[in-house]
Amino acid sequence: MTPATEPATSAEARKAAARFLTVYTNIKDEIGRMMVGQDDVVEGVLTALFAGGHVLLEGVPGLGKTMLVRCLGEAVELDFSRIQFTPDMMPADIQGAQILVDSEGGGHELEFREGPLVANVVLADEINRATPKTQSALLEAMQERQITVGRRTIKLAEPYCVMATQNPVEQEGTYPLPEAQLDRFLLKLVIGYPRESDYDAILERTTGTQEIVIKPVSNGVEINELRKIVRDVPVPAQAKKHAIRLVMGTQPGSDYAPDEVNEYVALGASPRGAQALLLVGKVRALLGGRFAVSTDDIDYAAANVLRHRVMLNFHAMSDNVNADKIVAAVVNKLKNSAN
Amino acid sequence: MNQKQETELRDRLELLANHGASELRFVRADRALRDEAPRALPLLWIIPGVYALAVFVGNAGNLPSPRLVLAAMLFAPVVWLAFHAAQAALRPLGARAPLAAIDAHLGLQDRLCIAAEFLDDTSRSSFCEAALEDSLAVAMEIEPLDITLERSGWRPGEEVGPHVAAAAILFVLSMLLGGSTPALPFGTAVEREATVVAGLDTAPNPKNTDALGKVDETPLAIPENAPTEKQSAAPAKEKEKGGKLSEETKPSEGKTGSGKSSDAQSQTAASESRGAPSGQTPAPPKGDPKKALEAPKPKKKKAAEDKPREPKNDEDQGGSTAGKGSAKGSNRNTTTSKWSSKDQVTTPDEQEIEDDEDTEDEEEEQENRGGMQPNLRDRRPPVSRDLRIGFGNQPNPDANGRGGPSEAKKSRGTASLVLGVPIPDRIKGQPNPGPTRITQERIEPSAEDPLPDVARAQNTRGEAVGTVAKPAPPADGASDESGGNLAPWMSRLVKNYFTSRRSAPRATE
Repeated sequence: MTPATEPATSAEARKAAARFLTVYTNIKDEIGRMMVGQDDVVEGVLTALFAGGHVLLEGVPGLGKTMLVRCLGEAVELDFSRIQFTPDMMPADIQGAQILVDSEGGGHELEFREGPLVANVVLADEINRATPKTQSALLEAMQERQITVGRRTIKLAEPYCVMATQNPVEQEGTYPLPEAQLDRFLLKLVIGYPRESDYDAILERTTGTQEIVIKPVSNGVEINELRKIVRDVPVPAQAKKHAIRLVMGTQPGSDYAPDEVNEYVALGASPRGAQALLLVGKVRALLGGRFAVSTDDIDYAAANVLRHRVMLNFHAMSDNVNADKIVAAVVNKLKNSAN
Repeated sequence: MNQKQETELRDRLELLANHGASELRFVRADRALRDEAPRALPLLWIIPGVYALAVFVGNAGNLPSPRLVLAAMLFAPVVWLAFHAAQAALRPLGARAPLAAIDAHLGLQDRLCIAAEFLDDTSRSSFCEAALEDSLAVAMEIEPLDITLERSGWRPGEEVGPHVAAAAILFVLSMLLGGSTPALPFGTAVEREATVVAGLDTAPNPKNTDALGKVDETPLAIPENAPTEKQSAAPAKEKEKGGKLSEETKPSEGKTGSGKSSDAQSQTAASESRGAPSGQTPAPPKGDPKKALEAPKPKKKKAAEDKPREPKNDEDQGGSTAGKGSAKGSNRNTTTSKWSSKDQVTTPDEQEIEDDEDTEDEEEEQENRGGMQPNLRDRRPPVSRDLRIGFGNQPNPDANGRGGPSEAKKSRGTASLVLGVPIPDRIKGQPNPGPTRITQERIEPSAEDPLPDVARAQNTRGEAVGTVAKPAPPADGASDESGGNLAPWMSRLVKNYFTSRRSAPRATE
């Protein structure tokens, strides 16, 4: 395995980009042995993994959200843990807690026992069923990559990726994710129903006797190296300016905001949105065989990156306007004004 | 990338930028035409429309000639479009705008723009070099002359047609209203002027007094379209001979108005009533003074009829607004409304009616606000948690028994709160020193060796117990019989008891 050093020449850069593409394709193919269809979602999850971000998966039950994350953990040979969020779950249940244990000599001592949050790939299933108190326990882990319990701080091992799922239909008894936490997710992927052609393969793989075993095709060390390659991809000023204007376009009252934003948006995206746009754009550029981010890469990433960072007001809900329409309006306005 | 490749790439980018700039100017001009056409094309019919309206109103004295109107009608949209197209085309282009346009047109993923930027960068990374090489390969494949940026696809013919038709109709209509043919502006103005002059020379017809107003309208309209010098010179003469003038102009109207529709004629008649006051003001003094005095009476009556209606409408509007409680009606005087005296409602039937109307008003208000609104009760402030029973002598209106302090906050359930496990407070300057090890001392009983005690049978005593120790005699020298602290009689009782016990035979033995 090659060391993770910055390529010095253009030939090395090409080699690094080719390596990235190879590993990415291998992981995707391995996951594809289990997952049928949902290519966009698989690409989104892998993009977040290589960009160093977290993913929020939204979809109705039975679409393979959990299976996708589990397959990813197996294909990359990472520690995988699953947390099924419930309303009575406490922060200590996921972070870990100090417990009393018997010590040698008949005494007792406090010992820290790690929670399921300490892993490489964490599946936070139905995250919106937990109380905000418990949801907030994820904040430090997602942003700082560490957990502090009492006086102990645990540094989480990289690659660290939280993949949370939530159900968009059963909202009774759920707690919507706070804005601070939504902002920490790099992407929000909406999983739709599979195509008709995919159903056949799904049924065949899940109801037969053949057991599909996912083999590891990469590991955590390699993922960390590929993350550095992603960071090396340059961003031209044009793409950077486009990302900034895209984020500002979601903020009501800005010069780049279309009428839809001024009318329907209560809160726009933060600078984290621009960071996410560039990171996803870098991955997209490498996947496209290019060596710099283009405005098309930014536009491609806009929907998945910005849809959960745009808070709509009451008028939007009454007029059945969702965040995707708002983001599309911003992109269209920037495209038209560019010419 | 070596120096030669860099030079080659720069030259190529410059060539592409030059060609792209010219193409981009065409695209911008084309887009400006498309965008401005909806604003410019209505000028085709707005100008003759305004002209026709002016003719219709009857202010003919200051109107321009139809020829000028026609010229303005045709040239105004053209000038408008040409100005904006030129403005868009000549607008300064950004340094990389042509390259960006070519990138977008050919789907090059910004390769040309990226190359233009990275070429100017002196400290390029390896990825920048790779991007430049990539851009060079792509740029060399592009043939500049083959680039034709996509136009907006605007077809003027599709949009111009309705506007031209409307313009022609309005222009002809204005000519008809003005009593001239559309061809007049191009050559028959002198002929029409002669007709007007001939009409002025004709003597008035006193019999035609009934149609005086109707007749007067026509000569007023004609001079509007005829900018003659005689018109300003002899207005009084025209008014004096108005009746005759109308008769003379009728034939000419018949010529030009042969194709006039009945609607157009009725519109002319309707305008006469409006035009009469201004045109006939000199006429009443001319006739019978009594008639002149009587004539304004109906107008006053009509005005008196009109006047009460307005306050009535105001009252209705104000009342409805007050009933709705809308903020829009705040500037209206609700005291004039009959709804403002709700306190006078006494009968229960009227009260029910009022309640129903209140409900309807709420529904109307919800409709005005754009649909079903949440319950207004939700807008009330939350229940007070104040523990006071009332406000002074009056009961608390918000008290519902749910007040009071909240419950104790729940613990987080961590082991740090387990009873009996003290954890010292965090010490500043020592973040996270490590796990806190606290042991709880447990005191366990130590083993003790007991004294050996041999078990034996306890039989009856076979011998005397011995001398019972007597207590020491008191220090003051009291007699022994006293038995220490005992009284003398008690001492004798005890002595006798023990003596009798010792002397008595042992029954059990």
